[in-house]
Amino acid sequence: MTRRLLLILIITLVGNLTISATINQTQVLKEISVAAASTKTMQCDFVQTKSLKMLGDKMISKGQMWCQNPSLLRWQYNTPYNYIFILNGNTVKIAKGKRRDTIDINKNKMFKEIARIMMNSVLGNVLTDKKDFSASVIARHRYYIVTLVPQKKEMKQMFKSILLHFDTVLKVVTKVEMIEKNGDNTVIQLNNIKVNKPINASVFKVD
Amino acid sequence: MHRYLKLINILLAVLAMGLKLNAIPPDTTYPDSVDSRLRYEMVIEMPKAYLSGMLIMHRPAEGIVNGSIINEFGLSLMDFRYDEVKDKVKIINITDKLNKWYIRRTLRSDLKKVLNAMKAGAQQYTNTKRKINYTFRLSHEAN
Repeated sequence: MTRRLLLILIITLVGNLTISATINQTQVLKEISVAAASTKTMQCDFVQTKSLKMLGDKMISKGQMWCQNPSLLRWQYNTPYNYIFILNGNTVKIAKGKRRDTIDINKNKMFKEIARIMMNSVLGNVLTDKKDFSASVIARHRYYIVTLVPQKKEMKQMFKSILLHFDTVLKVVTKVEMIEKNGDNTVIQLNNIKVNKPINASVFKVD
Repeated sequence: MHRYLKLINILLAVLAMGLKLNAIPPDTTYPDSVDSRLRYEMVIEMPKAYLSGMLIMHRPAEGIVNGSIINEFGLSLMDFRYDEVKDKVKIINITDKLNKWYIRRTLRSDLKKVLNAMKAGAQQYTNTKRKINYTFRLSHEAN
């Protein structure tokens, strides 16, 4: 029993030493931030899987995303519902069915935070803002997994933590996991990523 | 011989049609059998704001229906439990933005009416006193 306990302790210790030996947190965060800074545009498909703890159910939504630094984003769901969210500077435009809404994000904190988190998560910009999140990193295979813990009230109200999976080969975030206070979580997997390809300005307009 | 083949063809076609008709589930608007699940696209319109998203419901046991409302981005707005015997809604979790006693009270009362409207096959309920309009449409997604 004692021998087993000792073995577990050694494994844990060695594991921790390996992680700290191979990862210099500050350097990794800097590396991701540099990659983010060099990302001018990004477009991809995404699969969003929402796990509902209370219902033991999963809800899958699919769509496309386009973004252009510093503040243009189109997040579009194609299935199972049609929903378009466009961030253009300080304005958010939403199209759902025949309904069109324009929201000034400075007057709506919730939308401001959603827009910011979506844009900055996919670009990896969130790491530089220490007022918003505390960040820690682990390395797994070809990914750095950055755990962000919200520091601001508005964010704390929505998320317990956010995990960004940064692909060290592609130099982009390929997966975002959002863990909510009620135990639900949402995983957004980004596929067919294209970086720094020109995007037509009409993409960021709502008809 | 040709006549027999024609007859067999007609019989097969009729049989296939019958199977197809049996495969289409009845258009239920409320989870009325144990372990059944239904998803709705939902819009809540208030005088100065509106919320949209999905309402997902599951009947884990007879007399109980659990529900979650999430927005399009997957963020949870609320989880609730409906006790059919007591005709009572209990809010289990609610997003901090909506977590005010008067909102919870209105939602508890309105959700009960929304669920009863669903049972009756309706797709809309309006709280005329507070001018809140709830629209819910079955989502026929395949996942």
